[in-house]
Formats: sequence, C-alpha cells, structure tokens
Amino acid sequence: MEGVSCETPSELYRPTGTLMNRIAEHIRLGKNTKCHADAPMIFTRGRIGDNVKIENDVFIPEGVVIEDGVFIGPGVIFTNDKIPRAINPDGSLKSSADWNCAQTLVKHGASIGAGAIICPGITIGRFAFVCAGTVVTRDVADWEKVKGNPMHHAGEVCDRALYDHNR
Amino acid sequence: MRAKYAIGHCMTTTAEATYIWNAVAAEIGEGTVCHAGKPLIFGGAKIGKNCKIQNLSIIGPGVKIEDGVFIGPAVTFTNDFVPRAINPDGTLKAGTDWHCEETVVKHGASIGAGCVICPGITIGEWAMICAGSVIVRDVPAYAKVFGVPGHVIGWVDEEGNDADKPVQHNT
Repeated sequence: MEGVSCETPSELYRPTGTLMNRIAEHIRLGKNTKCHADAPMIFTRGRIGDNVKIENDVFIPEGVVIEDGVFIGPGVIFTNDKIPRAINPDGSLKSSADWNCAQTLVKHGASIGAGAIICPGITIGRFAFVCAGTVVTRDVADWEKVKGNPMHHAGEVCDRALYDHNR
Repeated sequence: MRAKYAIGHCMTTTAEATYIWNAVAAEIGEGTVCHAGKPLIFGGAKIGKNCKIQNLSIIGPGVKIEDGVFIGPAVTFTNDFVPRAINPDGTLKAGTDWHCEETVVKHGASIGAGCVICPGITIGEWAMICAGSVIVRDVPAYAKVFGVPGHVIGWVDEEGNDADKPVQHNT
C-alpha cells in the first residue's frame, strides 16, 4: 500500500463494512499510482502496477491485472463474468462459488478512454489505445488503436521505434 | 416479504451502502444483493427476490424488476421518451409534467455492464444482454442481445450458455 496516493475523498475500503472506502484491503497498488477524487471502485485480487492513473467512477472487479503506467479514464467498467446470472436455473441465489472469474490483463502503458467497457477475459496490449466509449470485445494488440461498439481496429497510436528508443 | 426503505436509506449490503433515494419508497425483495459501491435506486422502482445489482447502476421510477435478475455495473434504466428540463415557455418542468414509462425485466434475465435500457421496454425471461448494448426494442425470452441498437445475436439457456434456438416453456 505504500506510496499510494488517493486524492480525497477516496479512501481505502475495509471489508469490515466501513463506509466511504472504495479500495479493497487485499489489493496491491504500486508506487505513485493515483486514484482521482470521487472514488473509483477497485475490488480486484490481482495487482495494479506503479504509475497508474485511475479516474473517477472506474469499476475494477476481481480478476483484473493492471500493469505499470496504465491510464484508465473516467467511468471505465471492467467485467469478469462471461455468463452472468443472479440465480441458478432452480431459482436459488448463486453463491460466490457458482461462477468462473475471467482474467483480464492490461499491459504496460496502455490507455483506456472514458466510458469504455471491457468484456471479460480480454488482454489489452502494451501502449494500446482504447478510444472513449469503446466496448472491447476481443484482445487489443500492442500499439493498436481501437474504437466503436462493437469494437474495430482504428490504426496504430505511434511509432514503435520511438517508444523502444525512449525506453 | 418486501421491505420498504425510507428516504435516503442506506441499505447495508455485501460491503458498502446502497443509496436508495425515495420520493415514494422503493420496494426490494428478500435475498436481493446490492453490491458495494453505489447503485442508485429511486423511489417507485420495484425489485424482486434474489436479484444481484452491481455498482453504479441507476434504477428509476417505473422500473419493475422480477425475481432473480442480474444487473451488471453501470447499467442505466430510463423512463422518459421525451426528456426535457423545461417547458416550451422556459419554466422548469414539475414532477407532474412528464409521463413515466413502465420498464419490466422478467425472471432470471441478465443485463451486462454499461447497458442503457430505453423507456417502456420489456426484457423477457432469462434473456442475456451483452455489455454495452443499448436496448431500444423489447427483448424476447432466452434471447442474447448485443450492440447499438441492440439486436438478437443468438439464444441462451438458463445457465447462460449459448443455445441453438429459444428454449420452449412448458408452463
């Protein structure tokens, strides 16, 4: 938890039921990672890397891993269940053991624009660029730019050689 | 048994509070789980038993949710076909100046993350709405719907797995 900077009023969530808190206690956030005011909600058991920026009203559930230097715009929603149901076919409430948690990975340096929705089990490549409002339905390649609903290829974001040179 | 919640009531849920803003109390059935974060449930909404409601959803007046419905994060229900803030003469619209449409989500249906449900829609039993869809037409039972505007791309069974054709009811 060291080095995490949460601008007010975002605080850490404790599973004891305390209000106001939005980030689960067991989560590992990297150094210098910034969560903006008005509380993104982070419930992942995975990892959020260093130098990540997370804007308002972002929802990151269990099963999402975010590598270093990722930008996540306001209102981005990650998902983790390919076949969500509240109940079993017999009408009983599904328990937490009744579903498979899909694994989502956002790689180093990627940017996700405002209001994007990330379907379960997606990998977003290094320095990929997801435009605002995109519904990400398949993996995004490194340096790929995607937009739309359903998502389609919209070019590449920059010269790979330049990034490689600067690293 | 259905509980009625008072104005500004914070319902204790799996982890955090759900804010239920009531002009007229919202009705929520037994066993329904509102997830951590802040789904906003307004007065006049009716929610059945054993539903799961995720973060940041907005459920307004005129929405009726039957038993066992899954509502993903950031799902938005709407209830006004012709939303305006003001009347043509420039005065602010009052609470009686608009018509509230009825939206129904039937037993066992699932609505994926970030969907927008237009006013007056009926979503059939066990339907599966994919993430990011905008629902502008009624959804048949057991249909799998995706896109903007939402269209049927297939069928599912009660478990949520793909099916070749709509499941026949023996009721």
